[in-house]
Amino acid sequence: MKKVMLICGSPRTEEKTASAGFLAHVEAALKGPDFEKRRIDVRRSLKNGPEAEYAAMREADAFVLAFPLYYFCLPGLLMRFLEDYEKDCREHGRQQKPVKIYAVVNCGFPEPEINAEAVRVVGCFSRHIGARFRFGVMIGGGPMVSAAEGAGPVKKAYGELEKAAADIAGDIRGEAVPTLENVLIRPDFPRRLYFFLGDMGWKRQAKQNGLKKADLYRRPYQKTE
Amino acid sequence: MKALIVTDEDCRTDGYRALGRLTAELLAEKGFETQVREVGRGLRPCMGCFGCWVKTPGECVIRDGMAELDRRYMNSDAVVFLSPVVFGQFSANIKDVIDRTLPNMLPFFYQRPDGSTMHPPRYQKYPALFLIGYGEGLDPEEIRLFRDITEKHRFGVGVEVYQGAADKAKVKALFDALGAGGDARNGKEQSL
Repeated sequence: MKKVMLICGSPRTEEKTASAGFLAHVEAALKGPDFEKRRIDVRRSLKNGPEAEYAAMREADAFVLAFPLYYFCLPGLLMRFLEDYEKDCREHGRQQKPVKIYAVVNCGFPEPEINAEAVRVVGCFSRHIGARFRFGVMIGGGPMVSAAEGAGPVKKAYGELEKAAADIAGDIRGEAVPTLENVLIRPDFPRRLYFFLGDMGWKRQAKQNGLKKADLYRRPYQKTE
Repeated sequence: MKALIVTDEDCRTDGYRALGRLTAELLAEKGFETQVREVGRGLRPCMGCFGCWVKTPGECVIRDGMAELDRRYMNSDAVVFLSPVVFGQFSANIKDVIDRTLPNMLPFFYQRPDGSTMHPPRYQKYPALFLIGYGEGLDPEEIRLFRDITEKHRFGVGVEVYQGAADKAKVKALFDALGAGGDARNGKEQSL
């Protein structure tokens, strides 16, 4: 029985975030009696006190960390969770088993390559707690891929995610998986269309909040001196 | 000319203190009136709500000290982040501040000359930006990673990583790019 921690590092307060959606695909691949799964929502855990989650993590066989890219690296909220976990490990002892770690990172820009540094950060974290980092899944255009789940243009992306999830499951079981290289998942949208739809989305949300298009360009901190 | 130094209140090592003093001293020599802001768990993390774009454009919807810090940021000629290097990136305290400078950008997407995607700037002018990492016993990958995170996706940002005692000549060289007007590194692209 492999104990797997499915850690969602999205700072957003809604239940259905892109990161949680991608993590659910990994969870679905961890089928059968081989796995004991535990979901951890980083925001909720930090709010309520993460001690119970940290204790469970110390006994785990694997962590799957899913999170959005903020400013080309991990969101502050997830850094807090991982920094505090490392300190907790120093106090309570390191991982009890040789834990394997995977990262599923999605960015708002269409190019998945920009997630590479965030995957390396998870690699550094793994070394700090004595864990073995395995590989990352880097998803471009995450919010749009998530919003369009089931639609034609993202079918290929979900097929690739499911293949990566199956590899994570196989690697946790100890099976030989074809490769431990990072997986790049690129949405099958023309970039211009991606930009157009994104821009429309911002304007629509502003309108729903009673704002005009010009309001989006406000400069409240315009230099005064 | 105004400068803002943002530091992490949870990591007051001797190396950090020396680096902070040196940074303030060198900026003063350049004629900057410098304010130091130590940040910590008192500032809440960004919750990714995009309210700063679609509810109160240009301002974070979380009402804590960050609005004042963002105003000071945009009204400075130079901003220096002194961050502990943690797992090769910014510490949580510093990253919370960086995440919450998002109001200073516009929503929307555009393609930069190198083909990468970015959000357009909200303002015409941004402060000269310096991202300085420090730590003890950092391994080469952590140093390389901090540089990649800060330099690979940004243009015209001053980046350095220090271990142990800060070398005055090295820190000085970083700030030498600041011209008499304090904005030699500045440009329209300048953003976090």
